[in-house]
Amino acid sequence: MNYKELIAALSAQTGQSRAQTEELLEATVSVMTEELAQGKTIGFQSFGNFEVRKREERLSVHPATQIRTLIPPKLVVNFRQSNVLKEKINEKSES
Amino acid sequence: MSKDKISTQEIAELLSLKAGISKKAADDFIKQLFATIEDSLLTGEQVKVKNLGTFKLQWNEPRKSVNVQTGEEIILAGYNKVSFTPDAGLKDLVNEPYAHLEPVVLDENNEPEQEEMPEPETDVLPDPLRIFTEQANEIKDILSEIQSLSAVHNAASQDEDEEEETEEDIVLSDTYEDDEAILSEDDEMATEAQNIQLQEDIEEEEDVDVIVKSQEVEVQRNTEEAIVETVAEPTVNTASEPTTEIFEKQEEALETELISQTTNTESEKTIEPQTTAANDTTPPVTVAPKTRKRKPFFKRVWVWLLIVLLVLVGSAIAVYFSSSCISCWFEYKVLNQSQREQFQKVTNTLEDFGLNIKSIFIAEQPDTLVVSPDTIVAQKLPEVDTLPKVVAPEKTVSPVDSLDILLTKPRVYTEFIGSERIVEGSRLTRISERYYGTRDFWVYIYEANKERIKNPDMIPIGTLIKIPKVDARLLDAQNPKVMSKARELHDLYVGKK
Repeated sequence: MNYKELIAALSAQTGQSRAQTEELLEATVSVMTEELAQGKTIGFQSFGNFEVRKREERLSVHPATQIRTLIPPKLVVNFRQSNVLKEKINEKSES
Repeated sequence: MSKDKISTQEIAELLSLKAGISKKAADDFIKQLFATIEDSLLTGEQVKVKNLGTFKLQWNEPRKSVNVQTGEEIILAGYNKVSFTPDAGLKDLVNEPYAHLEPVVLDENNEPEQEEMPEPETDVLPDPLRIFTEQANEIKDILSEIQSLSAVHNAASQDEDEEEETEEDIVLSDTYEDDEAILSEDDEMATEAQNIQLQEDIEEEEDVDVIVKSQEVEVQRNTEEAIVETVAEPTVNTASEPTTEIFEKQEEALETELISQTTNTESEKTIEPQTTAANDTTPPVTVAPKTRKRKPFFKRVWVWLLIVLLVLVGSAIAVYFSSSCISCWFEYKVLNQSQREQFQKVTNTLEDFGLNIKSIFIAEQPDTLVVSPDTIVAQKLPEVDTLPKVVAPEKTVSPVDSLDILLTKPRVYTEFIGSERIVEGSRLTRISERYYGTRDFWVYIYEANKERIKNPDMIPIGTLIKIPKVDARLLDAQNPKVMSKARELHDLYVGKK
């Protein structure tokens, strides 16, 4: 499902026009990214948490050339599904 | 930190502010959004949200594990997992605090591995000793050349040559043994005995001495009176261990020549069987009585040999000065002062034995010079008569030897090719790589900045260090000697702190 399909599905469910839905969705995404950029964790009930994690710096060794490289630390967005979502998904796949 | 985690409600609040809708509508919308995503995921599809990322279902295989308490093996069931891959824009936005950091290729971390590799050559023989063995071999070659020359004139038998060679081999192999001192004492005794015989013949040799001395003057003039100094100055150098080695070899040289002469005279008398027998059993001391028996013959051949030698030396010096560089000579002169002082001591001790032996030694001095300097090797070789082929390779050897001296000499930094301020992340090794091409030469930068750098691993940020101008030969990364020296210094400085 791509972005357009998502908007279409959303607008069908909320009864709003696609343009409105798209606007809202964009607003939601921008709010989320803003919060994440500040390093905050966003928790959505029964869906999961978006959190920012720090990847520590590390040494990587090129297996062929043996060149060692220091990889700098890095902040990444991590999504951790809630147990509710997990159960739902697995129920579905098991059934 | 209440603000660390925000809930759906807070997001809805922010969304309502941003989109100008009621809180309730925003909350509903968010719930709807994730419900839709969930539904889509449940059908096995992936959901892509622009500017946010992609949600995907990922199947985790069942895997074996162990119950920590009981040690039983259990199988964790496979399960689906929602994986989220953030959009590139979101990634960059989140990573902004560390965005300026770049992966760094670390070179200095390879060094410990290189250090672990031992240098086998340096372990086998310390440098000075190795040089001496090389030089001993050279002398051996030269001597055999000379003897073959005399053999041409005297038609000496080949058996004798072989015997002499083997004898030399034995003595040479003994050179570095502990009983070396005793050996040299024996040799001294032998030469002393010879001296006495020679003194008995002084009247006859006086005229020869005159010739010798006149040629001597030539030699002295040519070698810028270096030899005169060494003979004249009676300073006694206490560090005489290597000297005794040289001395010994000198004695051997004498000895072998004497043997050849005695055998030559014997061959003139056609009593060859006797000489071979004698040579088989001759320890150094027994040579003396033999020569006494055959004084006139021995003397005649000996004097003749001396003249030949001197002529050869003269021509060699002439060839040397016409062909090779004078700067090399000066370098030798300065660098080998100590070695010449050692030789001086040898001559001083020999003076006690009498005038004759001294003149003999002066005649043979080029041999001893070969022992110490590098450049003289080239000078000496033409003397070994018609061997121009040998000269060329020997000359290529000489810069390596001068490098040895350069390596052992303490370095003084007076010229600088630049300066560098230490910033965060600066490494001496990296600076070295930039300036000298190889990181191993950081030790020279450290040496030049010792007063500023306490610990080469932890230089305070902001320190201004100077990059010294280092002799190009010391920066030859292809030369294993240079590299082993740099590593040796590295060990020294890194191990010190």
